[in-house]
Amino acid sequence: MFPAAQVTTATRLEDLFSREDTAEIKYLMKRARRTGLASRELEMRNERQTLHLAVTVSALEEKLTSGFVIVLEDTSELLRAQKAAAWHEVARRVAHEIKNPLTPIALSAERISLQLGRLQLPSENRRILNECAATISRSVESVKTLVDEFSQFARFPAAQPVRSDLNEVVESALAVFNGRLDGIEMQVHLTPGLPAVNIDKDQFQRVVVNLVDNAAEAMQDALVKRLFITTQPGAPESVDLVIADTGCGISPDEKEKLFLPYFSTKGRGTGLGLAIVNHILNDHGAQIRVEDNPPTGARFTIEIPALVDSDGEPAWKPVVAGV
Amino acid sequence: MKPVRILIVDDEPDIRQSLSGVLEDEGYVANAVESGEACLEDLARQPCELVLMDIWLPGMDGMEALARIQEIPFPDRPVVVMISGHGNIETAVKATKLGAFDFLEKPLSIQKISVVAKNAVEHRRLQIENGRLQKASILAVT
Repeated sequence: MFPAAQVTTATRLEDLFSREDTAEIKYLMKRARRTGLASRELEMRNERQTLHLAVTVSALEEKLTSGFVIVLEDTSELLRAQKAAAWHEVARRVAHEIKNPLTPIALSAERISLQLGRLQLPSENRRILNECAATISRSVESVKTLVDEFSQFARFPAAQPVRSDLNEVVESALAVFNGRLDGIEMQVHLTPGLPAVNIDKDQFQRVVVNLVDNAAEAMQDALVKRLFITTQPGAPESVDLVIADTGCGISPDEKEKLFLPYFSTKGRGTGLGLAIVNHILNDHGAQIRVEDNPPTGARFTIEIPALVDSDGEPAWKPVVAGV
Repeated sequence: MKPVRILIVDDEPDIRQSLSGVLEDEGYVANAVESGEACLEDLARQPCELVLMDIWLPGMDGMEALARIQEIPFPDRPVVVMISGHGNIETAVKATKLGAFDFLEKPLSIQKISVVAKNAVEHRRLQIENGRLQKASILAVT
């Protein structure tokens, strides 16, 4: 949560927290002095990221001079998962609310053309009226298609993970870009002999493609265009995939919203790219984090649980996507 | 022949109006109510052959109303077709288990409705005919 150097030299709250955060914690300490225990949610910003913390302060004794125990729990992941779940519900409801009025529109248009068939009308008028009814029916169809695509997001297909070599998956994803990354210097370091991972190959290719797409776009106006793609052993029993660029970078504010649906810094696109990436990774028990890539650019690190090799059994079980 | 009565249950006035219109064009007698509760009251007053029931309803939802309709004794019990705005397999299976005859997904089309209505009414005629024959055969044996 804090850089090690900052923690070893810190002697006061102010050494670790901003002025506002310190004031909040001191207020909690006062309350804990009265009630024994006080807690609240805190949003902590630093130059790297925004953290959502659950802060609990307990007073050791009911004496004015005694100490406190302050527990900081990072709830950013939890909050992110809650936000994603909220969006699935929104997508489902919006799809329903749009399809509802489509029914009377579609039925009325069809009924108009049926009734027209029974009328004596000058042929020119008949042609126009029939054309209008047909236009309405066609438009209803296209809105329905749109809504169906939209609700695809709410019922994303469940992952079908198989034992895979991450390097192979990355290579086949990069093959998609063959010749399409002009002017970008690729630095690909795929560490050989990595532990196998239990992933859905198609979905993971999509993750890599989405991230490389974003990186290429972020470097459009950059002077140095370098894309780093690295696979390496990560924390115990995990494999890391790092995709870094020398593009325009991501501000702390943007970092927080990055994985939400319909958040986009681009003028085009659906804003679903990274939300889909996040969804896929959640289904695989994998984590993604975004950091700066000094001096400029962004670095996405994906941590994938490795397969435990001794018994060949996966070290984790995939989450079945809810509908 | 006595006209076939159909009851529409949907909380959207425009759907009630357009669906009634389409069914009347096809020669049915259509009534429409806005809730599961009103549907059960209407059925208690005058039986009908077919109920077209929306699943998402305020108050008693369509599934519960479907279950309550199954408690109506046989000759008066209508055939029920469920209508949903977000068709998924689970809901369709659940509705069928609860006794629904069929499942329609919004947006509806005249063709889909008329085919389903025709099948449902035919199904009910056969049910009644079957019941009558069974009774007759029991009488003949005894």
